[in-house]
Amino acid sequence: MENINIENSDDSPKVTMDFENGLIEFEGECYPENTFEFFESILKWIKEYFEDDSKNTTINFKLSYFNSATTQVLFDIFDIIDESGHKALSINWYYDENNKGTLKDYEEFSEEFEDLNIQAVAL
Amino acid sequence: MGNTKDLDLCIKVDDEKICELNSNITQENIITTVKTMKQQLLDNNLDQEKIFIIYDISIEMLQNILKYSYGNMVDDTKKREADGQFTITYNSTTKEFVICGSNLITKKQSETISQRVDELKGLNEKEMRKLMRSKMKSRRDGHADGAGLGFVTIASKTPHPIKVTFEQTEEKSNDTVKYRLEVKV
Repeated sequence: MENINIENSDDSPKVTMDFENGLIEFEGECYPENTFEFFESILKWIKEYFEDDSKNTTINFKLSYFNSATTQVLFDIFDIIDESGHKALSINWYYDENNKGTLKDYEEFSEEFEDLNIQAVAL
Repeated sequence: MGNTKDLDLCIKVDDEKICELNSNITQENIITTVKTMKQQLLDNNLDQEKIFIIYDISIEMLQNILKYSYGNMVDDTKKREADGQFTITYNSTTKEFVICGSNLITKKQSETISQRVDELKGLNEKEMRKLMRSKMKSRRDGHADGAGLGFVTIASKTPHPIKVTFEQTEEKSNDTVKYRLEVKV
């Protein structure tokens, strides 16, 4: 699988999808005009990656803000991971202690995807 | 571009305008608008938690105008341009912000929004979260006419009820109404 590396912009995050090192990371703000298109290749990559359920994988969400369309895509991402049954997995949700909204987002996803054991990490 | 395609971004502290921008609503202008607004509010040492909430609501509101405003234009690269107005007012006595967006929509869209407003009425925090989660699970719900997850997200950011009004207009088409969404933070 080819890695995906996307630099951040004013309205989209830095995306790192490193197959060899089992690292998936999103960092920055996320509210692109066409959110679903922005994530199209990313979702495809994730689906393919999680067909193999043995690789040690770390996923870091370092999103300081994301719009509602991104919320739906994140839900899709967690859904793919959850359905894969992948066990060697560490998912970290980074939140800003000064911004309660980012912790609230963590609560939504961690409660909905309890089996994924998403960890909250204060920035 | 004519004068009708203006985004009137305006931040007012009491009755004094501290920031104003007139331009078309595009994604680029939304980025400029929200970043300017956030910096202005931070520079005025206002409640940081509220600033984050205002930032979140503003982006949702402006992207909703961009996506759903009647007569918006989409170019070959799927970039949009739309009409609308957007204002944030701060009252230094009550320490409250009022965020307001308005744009033309079709009557069909207004019916969808009215239904959504009714759905939100009287919901407590737990019920609101449940509704949000149901919308997170479906990309399709509400997206044809707006008033989907974005609308519920805006409503969930504040304990105050959101205020929605529709005004009849003879502009452009008899099938349109002027939609105004007001949120207090």
